[in-house]
Amino acid sequence: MTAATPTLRELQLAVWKLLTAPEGARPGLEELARAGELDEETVTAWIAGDERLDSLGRIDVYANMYFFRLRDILAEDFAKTAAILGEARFHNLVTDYLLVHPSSHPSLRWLGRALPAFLGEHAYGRELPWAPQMAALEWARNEAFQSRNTPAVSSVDLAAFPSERWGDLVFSLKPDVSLVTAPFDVVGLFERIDGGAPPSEPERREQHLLVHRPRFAPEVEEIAADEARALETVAAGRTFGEVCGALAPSEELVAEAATRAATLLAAWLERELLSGARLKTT
Amino acid sequence: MSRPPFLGHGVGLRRDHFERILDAPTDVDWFEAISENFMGVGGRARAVLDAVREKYPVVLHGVSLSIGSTDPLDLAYLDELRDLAGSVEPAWVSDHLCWTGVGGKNAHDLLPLPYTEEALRHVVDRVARVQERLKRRIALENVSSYMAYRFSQMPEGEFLARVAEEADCGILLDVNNVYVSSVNHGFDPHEYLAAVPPARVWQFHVAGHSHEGQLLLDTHDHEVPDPVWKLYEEAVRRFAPVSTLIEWDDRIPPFETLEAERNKAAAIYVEIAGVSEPAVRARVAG
Repeated sequence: MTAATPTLRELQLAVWKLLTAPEGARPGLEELARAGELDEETVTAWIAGDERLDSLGRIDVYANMYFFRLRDILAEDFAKTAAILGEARFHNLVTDYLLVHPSSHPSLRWLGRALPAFLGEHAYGRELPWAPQMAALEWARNEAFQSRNTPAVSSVDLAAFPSERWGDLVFSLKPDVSLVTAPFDVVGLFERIDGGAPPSEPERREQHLLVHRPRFAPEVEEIAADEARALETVAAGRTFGEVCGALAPSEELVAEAATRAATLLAAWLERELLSGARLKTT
Repeated sequence: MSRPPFLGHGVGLRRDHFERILDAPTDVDWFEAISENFMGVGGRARAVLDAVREKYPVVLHGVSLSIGSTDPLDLAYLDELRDLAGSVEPAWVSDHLCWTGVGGKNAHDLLPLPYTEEALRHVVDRVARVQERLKRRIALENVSSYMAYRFSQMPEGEFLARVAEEADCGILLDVNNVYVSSVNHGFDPHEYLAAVPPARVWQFHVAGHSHEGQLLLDTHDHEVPDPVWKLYEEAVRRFAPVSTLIEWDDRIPPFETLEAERNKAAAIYVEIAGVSEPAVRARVAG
């Protein structure tokens, strides 16, 4: 190899920087040249161009496909959020997002994982505060649709544990189950956009949403605040005893809380929300 | 080395066609499923794949193996793929001779390698490790490309052939990709085919492309154009018996349009190779 010939690693790192440059390969190269990392002479020596398209133009083919492919995936995964933001703002949001959260997983399914939180911190999210809530709902629905099949815990499974130890039981939520809490009626807004109505400011009303997949289609249920709190406690890996504690507003009401927790547990088993049960080990 | 069984003429398994495929008989002999669309995935997509597999042979075709990347192999990805293949029992597993990312990031694009001795050694070593991890041989597909490296040391066809021979893997010969790259880089597609060893070719891809300025883009969103059918004829003449798959991934048409393209490929194939019955149809019960 001559000094001008890059190693495979050097080549890949350089091409990567050019094809992911947010303004395109040429502005990306200008920035790299200013930093002394790469110059046009080197790129031209490495990558063949011709009278139809020069070296940088050929990298730009990939650069354009990189951005638009990922934007289209996110626009599909967050269709209602994109409708709320509008085309130009969604485009800009994706540009900003990919700079911070480029895909790091072999499957495109995970590309939008951090988008709801990112939008919550973004200027557009502050301008339209129901947009991040919608993004969270859409992400939860997507996950409910796709997540892996996992056997649910049944009451027969629970009967294997001695009743005096149920307070030490730690449950897991099935992978399709998630919780979304929003200060707006995002479900109503979702349905209006789905019906073809233009996105409008939703009613300010706190919603606790349980998203899961009973069979093949995601289902979104509005649940009571205490059930949401109990499920969040389960999701945090706490014991069933601690779930009871989360339901008790005061020590005097511990007995009522235990009754409520038992009722909720029966309902979770019925709706097949739990995937694992084990005794906490000390 | 033995080639896998001849499956006939298939199409890609796409969400838009799930109901049509399961609701009524088709002319299709087999389906190709994108591996990543089913890795760690449950629900309806997985149920459809299992139902299709009950009726047809299936091949798993990946897009994120990134066999040419200089990043370490993603062992979690390989284990997930091995588990999927273990449950689906595909006729074979394939991916692309390219790199898709570096530095822990993924472009989700099929980026071309330089055709150098260094890249050859790198890929051959990784294919061996992938095949060991998956406990099966794989086929690698030639990609369409829009850029080529001046310091390549051999033509792409020779690189593909040497990878297959030295790593003991199969070749998924994408006829459209050969044509697209030949136009984009000005090489002779017939010389390319002549460099490929017939015993290594497990499968053909045939697809449409689109024009972008004076280059061709591998968009899989059109019917197969005449120059690609012509090259397919030559490939059948040289490599048959080889299973063929029609790719159509964007602006997906009604299933009947895809089926008509599949039937056209089958008619061309039969006229040249005189073979019509696939060796394998549905999964054997029990």
